[in-house]
Amino acid sequence: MKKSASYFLSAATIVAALLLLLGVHAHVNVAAAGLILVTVVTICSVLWGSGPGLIAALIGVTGLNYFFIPPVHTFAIAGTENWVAFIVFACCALVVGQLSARAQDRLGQLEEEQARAKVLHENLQAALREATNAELLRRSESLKSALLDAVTHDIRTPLTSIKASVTALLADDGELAHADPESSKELLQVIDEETDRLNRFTEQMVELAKLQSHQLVVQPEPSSVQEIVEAAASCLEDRLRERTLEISIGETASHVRADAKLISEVMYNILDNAVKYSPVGSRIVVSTTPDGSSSTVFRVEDEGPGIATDLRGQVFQRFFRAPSSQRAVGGLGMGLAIAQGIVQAHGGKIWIEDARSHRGAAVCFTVPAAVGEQHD
Amino acid sequence: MTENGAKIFVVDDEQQIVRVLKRALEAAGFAVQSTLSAKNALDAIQLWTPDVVITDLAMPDMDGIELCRKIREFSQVPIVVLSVKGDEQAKVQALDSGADDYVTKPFGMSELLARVRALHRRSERAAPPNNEEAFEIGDFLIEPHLRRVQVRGKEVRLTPKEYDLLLYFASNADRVLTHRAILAAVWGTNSSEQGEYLRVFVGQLRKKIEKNPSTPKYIKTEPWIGYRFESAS
Repeated sequence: MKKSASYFLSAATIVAALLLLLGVHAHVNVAAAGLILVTVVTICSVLWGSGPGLIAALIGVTGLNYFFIPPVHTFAIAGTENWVAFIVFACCALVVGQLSARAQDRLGQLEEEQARAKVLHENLQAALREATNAELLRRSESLKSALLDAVTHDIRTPLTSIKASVTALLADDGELAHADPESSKELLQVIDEETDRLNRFTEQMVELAKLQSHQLVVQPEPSSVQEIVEAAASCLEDRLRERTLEISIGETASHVRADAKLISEVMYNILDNAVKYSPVGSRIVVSTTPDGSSSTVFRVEDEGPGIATDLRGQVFQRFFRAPSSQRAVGGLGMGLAIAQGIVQAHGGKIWIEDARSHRGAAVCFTVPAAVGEQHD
Repeated sequence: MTENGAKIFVVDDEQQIVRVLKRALEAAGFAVQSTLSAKNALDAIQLWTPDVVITDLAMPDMDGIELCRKIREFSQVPIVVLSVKGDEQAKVQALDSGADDYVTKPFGMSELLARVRALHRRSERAAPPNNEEAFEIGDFLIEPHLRRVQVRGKEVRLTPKEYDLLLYFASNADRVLTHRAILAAVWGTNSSEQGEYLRVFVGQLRKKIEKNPSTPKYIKTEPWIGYRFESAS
């Protein structure tokens, strides 16, 4: 609203109030008229601000003096009492009017500040959303890149062995097969083992997909722990050759009620990690102990660098790889995620501890015990 | 082809790759020792003094770059690094740290054997006696005291920098030379970031020594890494 319109409206309002009071003049004394006019001045100040409020106050004071304070219809004031009434009214009208206007201004300022704060808050939220999206994108990009590196390593390493073997066998029209049958046989063995490794890699991908879509079928039956561990170790025979594998199975923890093939897969993944992360010539110890009467604890300890306490929960996440191992050690970070999925499907749990020797990590998991069913 | 018992030392944390390399290199007539640990490799190389070392780049206990650097502290044995394709930067680092060549995984055994043979030949060849004596290398006759070069029996006129560049290439034949190493050797250590010098001079040199500069036979480009000089076309 324009400023001049505010002044006009304010003046018109107080004049209207004076006219109304004049209409009921016989029933209204000076004090009541003063109070009514102060109220109107306050309203004008609140509605239109301090300037129009001041105009309303001045008109009100003049009108009160002229029409209501004796002698009426003059601007003279008779008697102390009337002077007091006039001064009180004038002060009240001016002070209340200005205070109301200021309060109104302050309210306006507060509303503006609130509006600014709201806009700022919305901008901040938008910026935060953008930053979060950017961070998610960055994380997703970095995960993709890490995955690609790992897939490249896990596929290219066996491919390297296969290609080098095949090209060595093919060189000079296959002369190697005649000249050195023993070397030729070993190269064929490497091809055989490395194709198995590629196949296992593919199986792991399929298994992980099955676990994710809850399609894994568990068929528990009484199974020998020794056989489970040996089945896993035999798949890693070649890589375990450089380390010492010790197996210690407790008498009361020799059988479990589980899907032997799947638990052997769990054991394979844990042993595979132990081999990857422990130095050549070190020991890997597999042991089982009873956990109460209903389950058995499997424990695999290595002499590697161990796993930092804050990473112990994360290592079971799909595709998680400890930052220090991303370049040096191959792998997609699927093994422990698969292990956890299988263990949980058996109703067990899996976790990481320090190795008892305080050198390296211990991966432990529980499986239901085969109470009173110790036969295969 | 046999190599009369030249000694090759293989370092790779992948047991299977070591098995294949050992068998294939032995079948080609080399004597082979190997280890899965880069740390163990250092002592073994000092004791056995191989003629060529083949090492992987990414290994858990020490990476191939560090291994090259440590070997260079006590030996000038030719080193071939094996790497997966994504390791472009690592290859440059390895070459700058003292490696002589690299082979990308997966590789054919014939290629690796050829690289090993080339490096072995080079290490067996006497180095140019000194800056003043003329020497012959492949198709090239270089006479340092006259700063004169003949290619396939014909003299070619080179500017002083082109001559310095060719001399550096010829003195390091069959090795992969990184841009940085060439710039530092020919233009001085402060020029190692100015790759455009090198491209211009290599282009000029190729025009003068190659039969067909667009398909060079002597100065081969190693993409994103540097150049390799082969003395015979």
